[in-house]
Amino acid sequence: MNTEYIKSLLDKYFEAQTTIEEEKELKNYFNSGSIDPRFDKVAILFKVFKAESEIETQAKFESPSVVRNIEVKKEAKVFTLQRYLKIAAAVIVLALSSFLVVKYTLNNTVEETPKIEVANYIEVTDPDEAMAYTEDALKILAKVFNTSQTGVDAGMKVIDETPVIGSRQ
Amino acid sequence: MQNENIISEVMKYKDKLYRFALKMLGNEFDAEDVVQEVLVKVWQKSDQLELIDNKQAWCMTVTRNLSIDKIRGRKSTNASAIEDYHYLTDTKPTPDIQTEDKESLSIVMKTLNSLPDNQKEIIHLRDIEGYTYKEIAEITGYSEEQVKVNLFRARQKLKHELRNFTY
Repeated sequence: MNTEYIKSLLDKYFEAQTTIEEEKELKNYFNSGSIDPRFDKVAILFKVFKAESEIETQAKFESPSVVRNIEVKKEAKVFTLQRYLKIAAAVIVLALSSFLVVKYTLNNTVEETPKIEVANYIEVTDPDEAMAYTEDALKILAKVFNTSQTGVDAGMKVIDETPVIGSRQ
Repeated sequence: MQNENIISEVMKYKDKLYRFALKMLGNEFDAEDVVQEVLVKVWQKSDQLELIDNKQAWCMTVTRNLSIDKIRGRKSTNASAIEDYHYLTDTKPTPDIQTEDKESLSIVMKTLNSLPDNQKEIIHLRDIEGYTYKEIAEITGYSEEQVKVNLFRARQKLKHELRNFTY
């Protein structure tokens, strides 16, 4: 192949002006084995490209249907485990709470509440008798008021005897 | 049956998908994982895939996206930023090339590896896989103009670094 043509293609290549077809020509030339010695060094670039384009994977890929089944099974396993864990947790909580309730009941037996004596109400139909009861009740009330009055009088006496700061005696 | 047919079709270019994933991830096992995931996606989306003209470009896009997801996963576990991740690591073996000029080969490999990731990706799709600008734009999500600009920059860098390779 005309070396001047190759040179012009290389110039275009480095300016990113080559077409896909021209780049194919360059690749074919530099990997042909009959290269002009003046291109020996630059040929290495195209040899690297070729070597990289020939890299192949040795992996045997699983059919996606198989991969998907594996994934679904994995998900199902996780779901089952989670469900069992939830059930186990619920049983533990129930058992623990039942145990605590029973223990509390045994240790804290509630003593029988003493009976409160409830006043015996008497139905009074006779007005005089009703009056007598009322007077008795008022007497009790007056007695209580009397006590209060004494307390107030004593308090007032203390206040009267207390000297007021700044006032003339 | 329809699914099986599409899978058979995709399997014809599984090596292209693998090479692209390998270029992005720099790890054979991760690249194989990505191809397997692509096949599962193809299987799941076989109805939609029927309507797509360029199935290969679609699969390459899925490969790219899954590879980026893997890199992000590494980022969260290894705290290495996606921007800092180099597709072709220095530890990756040099391709088996028949040349006695090991020094020149080393310069070529070093130059290719030093390209920014987007340029490396475009060089791979154009110079190794032979895609058109339109297809590269479709695969990467860049505009055709961005593809041309990045390819130009990448080749200019190659030209500059290989300036001693006079011809």
